[in-house]
Amino acid sequence: MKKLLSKIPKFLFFTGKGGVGKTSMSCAISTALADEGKSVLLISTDPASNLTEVLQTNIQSIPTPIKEVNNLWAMNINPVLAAQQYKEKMVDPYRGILPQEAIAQMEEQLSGACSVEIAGFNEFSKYIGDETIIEKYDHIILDTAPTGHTLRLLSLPSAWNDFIADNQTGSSCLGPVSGLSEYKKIYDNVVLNLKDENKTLLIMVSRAEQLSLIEASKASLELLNQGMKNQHLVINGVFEDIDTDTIAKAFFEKSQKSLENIPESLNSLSKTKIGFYPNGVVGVDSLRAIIKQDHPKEFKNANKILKDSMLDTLEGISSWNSLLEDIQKDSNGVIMTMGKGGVGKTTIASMIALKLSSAGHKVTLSTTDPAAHLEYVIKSKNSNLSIERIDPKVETKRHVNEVIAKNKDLLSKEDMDLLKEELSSPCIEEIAIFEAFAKIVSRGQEGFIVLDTAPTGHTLLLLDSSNAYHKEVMKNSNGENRDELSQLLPRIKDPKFTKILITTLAEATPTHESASLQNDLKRAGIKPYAWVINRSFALSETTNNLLCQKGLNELKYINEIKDELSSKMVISPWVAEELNTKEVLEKLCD
Amino acid sequence: MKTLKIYDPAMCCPTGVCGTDVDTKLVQLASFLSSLDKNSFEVNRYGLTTEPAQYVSNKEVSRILNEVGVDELPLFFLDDELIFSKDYPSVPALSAKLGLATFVAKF
Repeated sequence: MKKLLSKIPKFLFFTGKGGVGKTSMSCAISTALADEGKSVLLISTDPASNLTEVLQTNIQSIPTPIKEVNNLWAMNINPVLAAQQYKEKMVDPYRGILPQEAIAQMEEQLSGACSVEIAGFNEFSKYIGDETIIEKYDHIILDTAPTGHTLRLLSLPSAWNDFIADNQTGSSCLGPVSGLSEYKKIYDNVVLNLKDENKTLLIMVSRAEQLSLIEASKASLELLNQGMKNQHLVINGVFEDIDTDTIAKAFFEKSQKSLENIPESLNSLSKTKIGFYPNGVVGVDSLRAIIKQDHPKEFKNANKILKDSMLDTLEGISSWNSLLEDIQKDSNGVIMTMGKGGVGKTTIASMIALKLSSAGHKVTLSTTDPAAHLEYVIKSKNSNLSIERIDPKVETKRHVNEVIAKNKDLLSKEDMDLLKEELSSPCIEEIAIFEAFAKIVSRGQEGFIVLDTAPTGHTLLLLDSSNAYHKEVMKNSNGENRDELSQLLPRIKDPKFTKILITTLAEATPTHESASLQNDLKRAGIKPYAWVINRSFALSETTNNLLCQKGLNELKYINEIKDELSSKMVISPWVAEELNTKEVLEKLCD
Repeated sequence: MKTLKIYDPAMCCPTGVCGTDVDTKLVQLASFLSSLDKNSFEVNRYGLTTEPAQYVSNKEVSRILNEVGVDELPLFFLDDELIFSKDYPSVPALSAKLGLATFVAKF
């Protein structure tokens, strides 16, 4: 840890699959640097940021001082909010001057996916590209959003730079932020700073788990290709307690095995290992304990207390069997697992797809998660079950090709060049994914579609843009059959057609983020069908002291969900084996 | 030197490519406008979302918006004379109004 702290340059980025502890790590390292007397600004760009919870300070959208740590400031950049503020700034001066219809048109235009992306990017750029702001701090630390989003966010500066330089018409999808070229200097600076090994360090955060490490290695390579060569690996939550308990032994061995098999591309990086803390990381004291690498304390009789408390807690919680039966009252529809990245949405979706197909239903399992790897999780040959993947790159290419093919005979060469130029806009990806998503949802009329959606932040943006496009489609419907698009939102809102399973872990951050996801869904007129608590040590029958402490800590959140958040919930235990066979997946719903 | 002023409705981009579908007419129009001889025509194209001030400062545009409505957009003015409204003209129709008959053959 000392070695890592000594080599941190001006800018520090965290990336890794959601739920691996990027926020804990970035908060801990920020605190450690500030404790050394450096002035530090910590920024979160996750729309579902939980800096407030971890730092126990109400973090604003401007640098907020942390009372207990001198020289540390933290702030949240919420792209959705930034877009809203931008919209108000643009529209407000014309209220009462332009007719109401015109105001409504402007507002609608500024609510699109493009505006959200651009607004978020603008905010983020200020802190990496503007000298007058960055000279105020010794270190600027970005606790970035989950991986798929991170990759896009970080690959944006160079994409956008090319776009600005190549765009000859001067008007394009970037239109919503007029005068974008004014920012060009800042964007140039952003790209330079990110690629400068003396200025930027990228920390890949991973759990000691195979999937998590594969994910980190993909991100590492992708960002290496973007020119970010200065990388460091942090492996978080490594369980090293030697015990005869079966679960503890399996957990220990699983961690060790994954560490022995670190993917090639990560193995060459310098590494820091962080221990397992059963009670989560909340508050400055626990952040400092991580830096000092204190060993967690034993807790007397944890095993007995856990057993006694479990009986009360489990009362009134549904069994997986009754939930699966309830789903099968219909023979078609869409089942979506939603929640923070890394909570096991893909695993739960795979298990449900397997159970439904084994029961004789026709099932398609599909993913919109840009960082998904269903091929590792499920290797079953089952004629009722087909597996699909929405790959953003492939979808974008298909969309672009479709548009080009449709207009090929209608346009001159010059017109086609212009069209191709507009199609190279970064916003196109958002549209392409959305179309694929709509297409898959429309097929829920023919059988069961099980979707594991992308991590929370991205999912929110996706649903939000589907709302905006829904309006756009209704307005522009030009005779062509866009049924799947116009029906998307009504279909998602129909509780008989779409069943949303909010998937979470019984831990502070995932539970609270899922609660705010549920609120956002409710605002959009969508009521989740049930909650799934995944990977519960409380249910795993462990007797290990640390893991029982972890289980006891889980009960707090299981009760919170039962009492305040959902009337229907199921729990799946932590299982030792790799989740890549039918037999192991079925242990999740015993 | 003639001046062509176009007041678009709220739109993501002048080719309409950002929607879920692309309007071919808009792509052709955008390309035609950029091919016009800069010495003979000054083309000013405004977007409602990006340049609302232009819709307020032009008295005729402001009057149409307030008295008739937003559905009248787009508005095309050639030297302050309204030549098209409500819908985008085809390239031949526009080039005829601009006195450029040769363009008809090309498109």
